[in-house]
Amino acid sequence: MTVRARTFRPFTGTPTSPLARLLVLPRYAWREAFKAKAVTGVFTAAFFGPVGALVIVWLKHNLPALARTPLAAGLPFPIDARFFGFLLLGQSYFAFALTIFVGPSLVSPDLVNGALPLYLSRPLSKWQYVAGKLLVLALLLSAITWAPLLLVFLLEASLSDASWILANAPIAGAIVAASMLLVLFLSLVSMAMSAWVRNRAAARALIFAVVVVPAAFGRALNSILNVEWGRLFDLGASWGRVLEGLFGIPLHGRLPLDGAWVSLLVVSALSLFLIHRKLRAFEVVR
Amino acid sequence: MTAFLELDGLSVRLGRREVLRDLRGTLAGRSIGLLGPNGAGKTTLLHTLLGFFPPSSGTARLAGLDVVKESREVKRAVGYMPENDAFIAGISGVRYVAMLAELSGLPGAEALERAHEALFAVGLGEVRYRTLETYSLGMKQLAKLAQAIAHGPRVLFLDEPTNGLDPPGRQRMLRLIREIREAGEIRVILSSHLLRDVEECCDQVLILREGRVAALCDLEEERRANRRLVELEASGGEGDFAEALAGIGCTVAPGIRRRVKVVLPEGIGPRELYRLAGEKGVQLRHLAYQRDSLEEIFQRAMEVET
Repeated sequence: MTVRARTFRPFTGTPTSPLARLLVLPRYAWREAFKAKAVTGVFTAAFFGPVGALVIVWLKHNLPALARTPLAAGLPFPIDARFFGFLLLGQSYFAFALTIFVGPSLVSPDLVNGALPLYLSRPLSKWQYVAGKLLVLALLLSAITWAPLLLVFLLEASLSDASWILANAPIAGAIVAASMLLVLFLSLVSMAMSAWVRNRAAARALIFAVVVVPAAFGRALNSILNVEWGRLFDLGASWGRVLEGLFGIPLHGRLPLDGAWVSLLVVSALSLFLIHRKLRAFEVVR
Repeated sequence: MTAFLELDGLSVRLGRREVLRDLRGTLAGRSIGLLGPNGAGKTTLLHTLLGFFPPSSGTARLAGLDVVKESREVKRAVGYMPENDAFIAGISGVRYVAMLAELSGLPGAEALERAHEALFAVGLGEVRYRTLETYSLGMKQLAKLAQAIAHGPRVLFLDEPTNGLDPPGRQRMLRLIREIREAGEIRVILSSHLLRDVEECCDQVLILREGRVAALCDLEEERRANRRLVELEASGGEGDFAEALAGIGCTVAPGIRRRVKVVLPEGIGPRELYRLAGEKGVQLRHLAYQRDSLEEIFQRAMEVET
């Protein structure tokens, strides 16, 4: 049968599941994302911390090996919630950097090149498209946040006695919860900004500005009005406070925890609203 | 023939504007043309059928499926070639087509195989590994057609498929559309403001004007009727010749510039006309079947107050 004759033939097989269709987007987008050297560089650098943590944990439980290092007297800090909290805090900077590089290239090109009608004319809803694109960042950021940190936790748990596990079991939940919150927040903000401005460079600047400008505004408010709640505009501080709450460690203690949650949730909700408004198959001229 | 596209009082309001108003009609052709001047509502109708815009009232059924209630099934059945540029940045032609076929529900291997086939079918086989950004305008139009047919849809929506194409490119696109139509597996809905495109590719036409149905016609029927209508110009003994034509059952009506329009009865063709002209000693200077029927229908539709 000729190529042409085959082409016009309807597909009679079993269609793939909605989940499989959803995963098509991240599968193709991942390959494109790693074409950028900056992304590969940041992604690789993001593993230095967790790999270092794995080495530290291993050394701690291998005293003969530790004796050959400058830490012969033992580790100057315990492997506890604080250790994992700071490790995740460090990873969040890499997550933010990756978001700036990868986030804007997910949606902006589709909007600029008019690809949305192609996606939405298929059995794929707008929110499935959004979920597919969010998955690109979610999987990427998961690979440098909760996944390696859980690995460190599991190594520590496997090498420690039962008392450490009993005392520190909630850390695993805190790692996953805090990481998921960070991943979702960064993904939503980056998608909203890139849907709004439709330009990669501008979206990168805007994502950066969303974190930096309100923080400066909040500090100015604090100075002028002599208050503390101005820091709620500082999304980085709010995230730190939420992380502190989940891990039970002091980082940004002066911020009300409820306020920090609300500030992150408000920005996430606004991002969702922007995504809903801006991601359409066609703009309607009213 | 069973109804393929049924419009029942379909209205669409975008913002404060009512873009489609009370569209009614049933079309059953293998290839349906949506014709109308710019802004008539052709693209909005396609988008409504695709579920991009919700109807403000009325319903539409495509291939028996309600376009609102069974939107997902409609989308599964449709291949859509948009009017404007519609690309995914940074990927090759074959990945572009394969990815979209996968999103239509094809397994990865099948999607890739069909992507290659579709690109060969539209004539982009040799450039399928080049990124889409390097394609010319004509190649981009063909790539859009390839992505619309790769997943084997039952219905193909083509929105101004010849936009921006040079004459050879336009002919190639129209030939492809005719091939798709004639292959018989896919029904085509073609939206265009170009009469020739619609006339060459469609057998039924829905003419829109200011968001309303201005005319709905069966081009096949028109063509059949036109095969009975000829225009003649005779020289010498026109009066006798007209009488002789009436004698064999033709209806003769005066035309312009000494030409007459003749409706031929069943069983009478050009051969009989030439024979009759020979018998009467009349020279036939011009004999042609009525042409540009769509143009006339379109003109009438645009003139009629709706």
